[in-house]
Amino acid sequence: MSENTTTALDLDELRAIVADALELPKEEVTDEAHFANDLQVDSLMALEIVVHLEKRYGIKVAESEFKELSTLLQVRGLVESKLAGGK
Amino acid sequence: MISLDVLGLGVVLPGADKPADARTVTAAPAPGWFDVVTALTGRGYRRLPTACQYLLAATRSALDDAGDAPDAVPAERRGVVVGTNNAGMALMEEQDRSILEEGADAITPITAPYFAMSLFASRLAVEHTVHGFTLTTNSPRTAGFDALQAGARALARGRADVLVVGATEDELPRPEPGADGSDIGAVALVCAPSAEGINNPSAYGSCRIRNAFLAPGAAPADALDDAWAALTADGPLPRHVDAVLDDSATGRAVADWLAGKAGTVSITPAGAGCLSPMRHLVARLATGDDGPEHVVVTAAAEGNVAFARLTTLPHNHPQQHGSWQ
Repeated sequence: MSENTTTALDLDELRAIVADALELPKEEVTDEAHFANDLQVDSLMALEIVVHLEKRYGIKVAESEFKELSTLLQVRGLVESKLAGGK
Repeated sequence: MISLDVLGLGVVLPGADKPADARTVTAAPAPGWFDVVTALTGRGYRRLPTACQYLLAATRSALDDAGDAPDAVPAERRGVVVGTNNAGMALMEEQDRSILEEGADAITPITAPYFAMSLFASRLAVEHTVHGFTLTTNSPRTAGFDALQAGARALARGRADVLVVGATEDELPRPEPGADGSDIGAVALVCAPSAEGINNPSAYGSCRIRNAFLAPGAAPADALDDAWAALTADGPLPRHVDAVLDDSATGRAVADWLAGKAGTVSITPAGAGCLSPMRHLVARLATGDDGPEHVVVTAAAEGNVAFARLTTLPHNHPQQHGSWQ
């Protein structure tokens, strides 16, 4: 059995954070909207999201980690694992 | 002298919603006087430094005012010159505070590059696909006039066919000297090369710049006389001079020298920044008040003096002024 645990994250709050960083209405940041293809997120905007996440959740996200993410649900997964792992 | 035709004007100024009103702005603007969401529709603007927002919005307005002609110019034939003194001061204070309190990682990535004053013009160039040249001028108080002069020289040498010249300032943070009443906002001018003896029917008029430097301890009259002679050699003398001056030794020397000139002179106190002289220049172009020939002069404590000679034309930009069309 895995030792991994996760901390439930308020998805709507996370959506608001991402939407604010991207200057988009919350409704456009759907769970599965692709950051690059659907929301036209470039590298600078991605860094903006990272800074917002780090401030809100007190975590550290490497640029290389965020590059692997392309949807809100994937971001939730990363943040939850960071919170659970205390990183 | 090298001259520019001015085809479009735009302003973002507290208390003035069109270029004709640019001389009379609100000295202490209320928070929220500028709404970026309304002024700059689209994404990617909300987190820009405010002086960059002002510049982008003023330029949009100036390009709208200039009509279709600038759009027809290829990207590699477009240029941008922006004058600023304090566009990044408040931002740099904020960045310093972030670094001290939270670390460098807390600086928002979108604003991080703007510690370099050239980024304001660069962002404008990106916005309007300007590939010809991008230049920033920073001399105290005369930077806006210097931008016009540098742009005029570039156009005269054939480096571009159309030019946006801007001046933008953010309010100086306290307790910086001059914070009270410091310049805030932006103006933008869309310019094209002047053709000798030909009046561009879509232009507000033409503009020529002449600089002087008053060395500490030297008699100022010679340098000012030389600049004035060069500026007024080929046309009727202006009936009115707008002087935007501070109470430095340079400012007082220019004021004393102007007292001996024919015509009327109005002296306006200069705030910190390069925007106030440009406000006067823009308003004169928009209104053509006091006759077609006009001079705006400004000076800084450091010794630099800049004159702008304006020759205004009857124009058809009805949204920019009261009654003259």
